Amino acid sequence: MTPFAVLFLFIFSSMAWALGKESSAINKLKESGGIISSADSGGLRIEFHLRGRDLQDEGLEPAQSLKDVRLLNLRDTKITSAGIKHIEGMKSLRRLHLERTQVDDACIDYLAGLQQLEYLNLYSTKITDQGLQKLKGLKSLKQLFVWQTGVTDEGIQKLEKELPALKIIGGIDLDKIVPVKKAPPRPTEDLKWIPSTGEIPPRSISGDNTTIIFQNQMKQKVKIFWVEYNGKLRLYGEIVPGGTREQNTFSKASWLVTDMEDTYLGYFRTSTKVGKALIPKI
Amino acid sequence: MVSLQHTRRDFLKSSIGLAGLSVPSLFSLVSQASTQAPKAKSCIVLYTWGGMSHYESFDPKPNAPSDIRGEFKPIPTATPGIQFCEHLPLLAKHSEKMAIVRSIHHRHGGHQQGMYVSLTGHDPEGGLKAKKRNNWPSLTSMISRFNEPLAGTPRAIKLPYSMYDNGTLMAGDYGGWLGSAYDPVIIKTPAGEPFQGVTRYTDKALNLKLNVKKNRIKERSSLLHDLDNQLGTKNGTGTEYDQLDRYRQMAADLLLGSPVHDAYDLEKEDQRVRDMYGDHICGQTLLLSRRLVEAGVPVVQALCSAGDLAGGGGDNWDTHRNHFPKMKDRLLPVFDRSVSALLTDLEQRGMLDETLVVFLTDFGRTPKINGNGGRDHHPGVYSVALAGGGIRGGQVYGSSDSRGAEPESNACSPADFHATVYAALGIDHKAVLHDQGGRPFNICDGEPLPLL
Repeated sequence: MTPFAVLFLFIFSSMAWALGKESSAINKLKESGGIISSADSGGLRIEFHLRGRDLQDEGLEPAQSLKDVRLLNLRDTKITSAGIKHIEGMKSLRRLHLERTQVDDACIDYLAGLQQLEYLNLYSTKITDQGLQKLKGLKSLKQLFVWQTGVTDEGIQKLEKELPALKIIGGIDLDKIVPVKKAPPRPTEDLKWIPSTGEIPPRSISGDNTTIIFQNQMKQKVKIFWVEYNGKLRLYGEIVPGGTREQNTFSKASWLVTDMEDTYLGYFRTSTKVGKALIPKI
Repeated sequence: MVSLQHTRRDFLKSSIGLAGLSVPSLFSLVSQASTQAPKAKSCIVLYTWGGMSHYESFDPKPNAPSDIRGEFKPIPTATPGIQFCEHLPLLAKHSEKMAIVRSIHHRHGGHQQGMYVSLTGHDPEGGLKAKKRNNWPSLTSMISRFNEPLAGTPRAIKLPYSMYDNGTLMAGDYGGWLGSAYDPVIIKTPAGEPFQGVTRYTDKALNLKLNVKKNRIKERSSLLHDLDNQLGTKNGTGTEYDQLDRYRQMAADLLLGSPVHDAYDLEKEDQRVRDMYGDHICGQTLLLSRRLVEAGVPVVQALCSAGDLAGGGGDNWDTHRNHFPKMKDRLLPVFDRSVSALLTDLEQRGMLDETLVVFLTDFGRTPKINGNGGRDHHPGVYSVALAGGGIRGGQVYGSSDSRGAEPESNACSPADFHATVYAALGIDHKAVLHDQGGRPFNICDGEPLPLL
């Protein structure tokens, strides 16, 4: 065997050994639910967020032997700060998803060497301003996500001063959201006023959700009762003369009206339509 | 997920190719070492069915005569020099994420023809029928052809209903010659009220019953399996039965707990986030779109209307009558709130740079306001837009003339717009695919616009 061939064999076998090690790491990560593909820019994309959500800290250990990982997505996994130690050597990592995990400020110490990191997602984690300031050494960082964390506006401003090229997305304050104002339901049916004959009105039967809109045309206050499924009466409120009341109800319900002395005046029976219930002058 | 775009040549080109021959398992992983820019990984197609007026959205004409410019005023957006209609105040704050195209046009003034060319990028030929397998695939179906999701995850989902015009199901909204495997799955949005509109599902939508117990599904599945074996119906490919079977299998997979199953359950979302999108069909549909993309569905197509009435009856964007009150009170507020919420939400979750949002419609509306206070169909020029993944935001491409009637500069076609979408997703717009008869087609006839 010529020295040249020996050299060739040596190089080839050491490459094969390195690749074999990578290959076994990849298989282990796949067994833990990792999806591994190639990144647009070369290197590997490793994603646990779809079927690897049970991943725990030790499950990430094989990743240590992978040299060229460009993207790692750990969203929704059970990873904690301790697990992030396994990726401190991923020098070519560009994109790291830690959102919606248990990581806290302690994980930031393991990220210091990731000098190529451009994207870091920490939304919905326990990160605070203190952890955030430790990111100032990551000079390549372009996008950072801290919505729903302990990070404050002051913390964001402070880091943005250190890293002017970095865009920090703090997200919106969900408590300030005002729900859409719903248009009042427009009645599409006039419900028939059935005057009292002394007999108790039919009990309500369960139906579809709808609305009944009472309008009191009497010169006196009235009381509104729902006739329960068992025939008992339940007081819902009073309506002043000329007043209206919008009431959620179900179809096939009976609504009974009395004066303030509980004298039974009449009742309405609902349908599936939004009903207008005129309480007539007597 | 491993993309289908990687060809054998890419593997051979890669630096590790030769050494990798001894380790076949790695061979399939370490493929191309190219230097291309990061691309969007998923796509949400927002379709304003009926034809959204360009005047009252992305191309206001404040200097046109009053019978053309209409009742509304323009407002500034976050981008100096770009104006939107005054009834899109929330979306105006997102202009930095959006690339608006104001010079798109085609020749087809009917809904069917207009939506066909808009959604397939190809001119309709002859009589169109929804189920014909020689139709062109929709953009949504075509995108799904280039993605391989996990088992139990549909390639493409449509929300919340199919497009109808006066009771006729529209062609161009399906997999066409790609085959039924590429028909997007229709899913009904499980929440949201019609917004001052009417409600009536007319669709055989896949209505997942989430409260069905898992073991009951398993029981039913195995029962079905036995039945299949006894009947001996499990043979042949491409039959109606197989298609049905495929959907049933997918429905079972979904119910048995893929990430998509969780995504479908809007009750699991923070109520404040649900309020942000708006408690109407459109809002909850776009919220569901985000959740489905998050769960690994490669492409979702959402119809953005105020109600869930599938065609006709005035619940879509086809505003031949009372155009201004309908736009102001119903369609624009719903669209503005829902789409703004989607862009806000994608951004704060760190999803926007890998999610491409595509705005499409049948055509624009006429310059002249008709006798019923409406605007009619106008394919001569209209506006569409892109946002998010791979897009340079804060720009307008092309312009319409002073009356908003024709393109004035950089006239472009639906095919060019599709080519741009493919480019943003890293799909070769000149890729050749074969139909089921083996005939080759270039997927797109256009060229990408400089929006990336």
